Amino acid sequence: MKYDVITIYILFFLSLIATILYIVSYKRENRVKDLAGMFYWLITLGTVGISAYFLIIIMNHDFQYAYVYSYSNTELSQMMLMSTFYAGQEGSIMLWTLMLALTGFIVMPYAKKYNYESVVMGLYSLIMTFLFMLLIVKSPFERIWEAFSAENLPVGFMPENGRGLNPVLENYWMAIHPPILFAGYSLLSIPFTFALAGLIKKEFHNWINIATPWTLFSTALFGLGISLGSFWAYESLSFGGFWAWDPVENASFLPWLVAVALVHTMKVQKATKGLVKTNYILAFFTFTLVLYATFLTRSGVLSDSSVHSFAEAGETVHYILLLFLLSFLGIAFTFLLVRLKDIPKVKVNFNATSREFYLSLGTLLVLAIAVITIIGTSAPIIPSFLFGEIKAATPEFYNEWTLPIVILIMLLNSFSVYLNWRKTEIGSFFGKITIQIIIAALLSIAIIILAGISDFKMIVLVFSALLSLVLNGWLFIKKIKSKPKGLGAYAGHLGLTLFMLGVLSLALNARKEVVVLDQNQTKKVMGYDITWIGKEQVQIEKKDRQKFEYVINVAKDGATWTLRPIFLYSAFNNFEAPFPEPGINNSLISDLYIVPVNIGSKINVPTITASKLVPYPLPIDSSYTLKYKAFKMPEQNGNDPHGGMLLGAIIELSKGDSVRTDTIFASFDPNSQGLMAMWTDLGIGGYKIAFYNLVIDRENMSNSQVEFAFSKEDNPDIQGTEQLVIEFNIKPFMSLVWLGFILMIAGFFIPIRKPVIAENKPVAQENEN
Amino acid sequence: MKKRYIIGIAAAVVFLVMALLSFDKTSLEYTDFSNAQKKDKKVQVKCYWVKEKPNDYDTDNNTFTFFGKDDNGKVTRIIYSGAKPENFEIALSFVVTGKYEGEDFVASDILMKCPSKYEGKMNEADKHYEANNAKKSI
Repeated sequence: MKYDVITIYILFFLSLIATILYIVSYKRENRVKDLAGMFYWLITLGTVGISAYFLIIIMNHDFQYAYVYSYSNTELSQMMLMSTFYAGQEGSIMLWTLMLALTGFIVMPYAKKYNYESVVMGLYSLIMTFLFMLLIVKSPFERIWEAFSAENLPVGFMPENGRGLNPVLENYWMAIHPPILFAGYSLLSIPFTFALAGLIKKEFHNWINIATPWTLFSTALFGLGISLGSFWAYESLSFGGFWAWDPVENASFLPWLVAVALVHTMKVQKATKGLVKTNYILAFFTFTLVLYATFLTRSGVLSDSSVHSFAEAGETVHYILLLFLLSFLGIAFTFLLVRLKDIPKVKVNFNATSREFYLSLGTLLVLAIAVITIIGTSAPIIPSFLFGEIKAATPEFYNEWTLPIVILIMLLNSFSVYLNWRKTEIGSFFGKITIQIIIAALLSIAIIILAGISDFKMIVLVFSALLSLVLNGWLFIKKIKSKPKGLGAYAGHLGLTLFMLGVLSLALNARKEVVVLDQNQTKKVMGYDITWIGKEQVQIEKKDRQKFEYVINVAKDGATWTLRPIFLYSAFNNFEAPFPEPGINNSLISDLYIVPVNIGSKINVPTITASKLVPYPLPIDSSYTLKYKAFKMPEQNGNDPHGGMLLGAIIELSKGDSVRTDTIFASFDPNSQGLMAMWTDLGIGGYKIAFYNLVIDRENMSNSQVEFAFSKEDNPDIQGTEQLVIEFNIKPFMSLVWLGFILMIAGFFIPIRKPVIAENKPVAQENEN
Repeated sequence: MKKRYIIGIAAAVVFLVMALLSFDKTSLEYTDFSNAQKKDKKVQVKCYWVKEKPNDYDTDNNTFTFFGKDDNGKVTRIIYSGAKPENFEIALSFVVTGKYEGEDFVASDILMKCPSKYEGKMNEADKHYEANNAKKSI
C-alpha cells in the first residue's frame, strides 16, 4: 500500500471539495464557511505532514525512492541533504505546495476579519487543487523500479547509494536561495486574492489598505530571493555572472517588476482614490505572471535556451500548468469585466506638477521594462511561422532598452520625492532642490572626468543616478530621526541608484585577461603580481569527488590576497571533465575574480592525436603522412619487458608512393592504470616515436584515439609540468551592486505596518517636503 | 481624460513597435550551418560532435577547436575562444553561437545539451546491490 501516493490523491480531493464549498459559501451562512475552513485546516495539516515525510525519506537515505536516488547520496552534509528536497522538479513543486498551503493558512484569519474568506480561501483551495494535480502526475514518491522501468529492477530494490547532487548545486546557497524565492512566489498570491475579493464585493479602496503590508512584504522577500540568486550566480560559473537575462531569471523578474509597480500605484490610490482599475489589473498580473513563470520554467518549452531549466516535464504537466495559468487569468478578468460598470469613476486631475503624475509615469516605465522582459523571454516559444525562424533574445536587446528606461526612472524619481500630492508650487519646488542639483552636477562632472566617460548615454546615466542619489540621500538623512518609518521610499531609490552605479562601473571598467601560470612563477597582469603557489585537495573524506583548490597569491602595492579557484572532479559525470569554481576576493573598491580555465600538462614535444584511418602530416616532416590503422590487443603482443601489458598501435607511414607499416607499443600497468611510452626509432630525421596516451571513447571503443609523440632524445620526459590557465578579472565597485540590492529590499521592508481601514479617509495630507 | 488615453495608447504602440524591431535586430536566429554561412551576423546552430575528427585545446591562445555536424549533415570546423567545456564528450548535442569566418565557424558561446541529468538511466554500480533486506514500502 503506497500510503504516500494515496495521501497526495486524498489531498487533491480535499482541495477540490474545499474549493467548491468556498464557492458555495459566498453570501451564505457562516456554517458553510466554517466547514470549508475545516477542510482547509486538514489540507494544511496534510501538506505539512506529507512534506515532513518527504524530508524524512531523504534524510534517511531511502534510495528506493527514485527522487532520493536521483538527487542525493550518503556523502552530502546534513544541510545539503535537506536542500535536495527541492533539487528536482517533483520536490520543488512539493516545496511550492507547502509554501502556498501555509500562505493560505496564515492569511485565513485576515480574510475572515475583513469578510473576504469565501473568495480568498476559495482561491487558495483552487491553487492547492492544481498543485496536487501536478504532484499526482509528477510524484515525488515514485519508486525506483517504476521510474527506471527499462532496468527491470525487482520490486523493493534498494540501491546502496544515490547518484548525488549535481556539483553545480552543491553550495550553501542551495539551502538559502530556493526556499526564500518560493516563499516570495507564494506570498505574491496575496495581492491577487485580496484584490479579487475586494472586486467581487465591490470594495474598491479597502482592499488596498488590507493588502498593502502583505504586498510590501512579498515584494521585499521575493526581491531578496532574486538577489540571493544573483549573488550565487556570481560565485558560480554556471550561470553567466550575476545577471544573465536567462529565461528563468527573467521569469522571476517579471512578477517582481509588476509587484514593484503595484506598490507604487497602491500608494497613489490611497492618496488620490484614483487608479482603481489599474490596481486591480496589476494585482492580478502579479500572480498570473508567477504562474506564467512557472509554466515557462517547468514545462520544458525553454529547456534549449536556459541553463536553469529542469529537464522536459512531459506533456501532461505542460497542459496542467497552462490550465492553471489560464484559469486564474480567466477568473480575474471575467470578474473585472462584470464589475467594470460598478467601479467609481474618480475624476482625478493628474496635474503635471503633482506627485501622483510622476509616480504613475514612473510606474509605466517599470512596466515598460516588464514588457521588454516578457518579449525577450517569450520569444523562443513563439512559433517560427510568425517570425521566420526561431529567435532568441540576446543580453544586448535587454540592455539596449533597460538602460534608457532606468535613466528616465531615476530622473523622474529624483523629482517626484519632492513633489506634493495634487499640486506643487514650481518656484518653491526648485528652490528646495537647487543645492542638491548643484551637488549632483559637480559630482557627476568629477566622475565623468576621472573615469574618462565619453559615451553620451553613460554621461546621462551618471547624472541621473547621482541626482537621484543626492535627492533621496538628502531626504533619507533628514528624516532618519523624525520619521523613520517613512524612509522606505528613499532607501529603495537609493538602492536603485547605487545598483546602477555599480552596473555602470562594471560596464565601463571591468577588465580581464587570460594568463598561463607555471607553479611558483610570478606574472604581472594588469598591475597585479600573480603567483600560483600550488594545489590542495579538499573534502578528501568524500568518496564521490576529488576537489582541488588552486592557491593563487595576488599582490599589488604591498597588499596581498589569496584566491582559491577550484576544479572539482565528480562521480556525477564519471570524473570526466572537471567542474570549475571561481576564486573571489570581495571588497568595497574592487573585486578580484579568478576563473580556472584549464589545468594540463605541458607536453613539450610535437604530438599527433590520431583518430583511426585519418591521415595526419608528421609535425617533424610534413612530407610524410601518418595513419593509425588499427589497435592490437595485449594478447597478440607478447611479453611486456616492464611487467605490464603491451598495447599496440599499427601505423602506416607514407610519403608519395612509398608506404611503410609499423607497430608502436606502449606498456600498460593495470594497477596504476598508467600508460608508459616505449620509444622506438622512426627512421625519419633521427626522431623516435612513442605511443604515450590513449583517448578512450567509452561509447564506442573503436573510435578511441591514440596519441603519438616525437623526440630526438632517448627517453625524454614529455609530461613536463602542470600548467594552470586562468582568467583574471578585475571588477571595480562590484560592491555597489550588492549594496544596491540590500537597500532596495530594505526599502520594501521599512514601510510595513498594520493596515488602517478607514472608510471615509480624506485625501492624504502627505505633503511633507 | 480621453485625450490622455489616446496619447497613452499611441505611445504604447510606438514603444512596442520599436521594441519588436530592436528585438529582431539583436536576436539570435536558430538555424543550420548552410544558412549561417550566408549571413553576416551571429546565429545559433545546433550541432553534434564529430568524434572522428581531431579536437584540440590550444593553451597559448585559449582556443578550443573541434568539428560539428548540424541536423542537415554539414560538417564544419568550430573555433571557440575558451576552454574545452566540462562534459564535452558526453553532451548529446551543442548549440554554438557565432558566425562564419571563411570556412570556419567562430563561436563565442557553446551551450551543451547534456543528457537530462541522467534521468532514465541508473549508474551501473548501483544496479547490482543485493538488497536482502529490501524495505517494504508503506
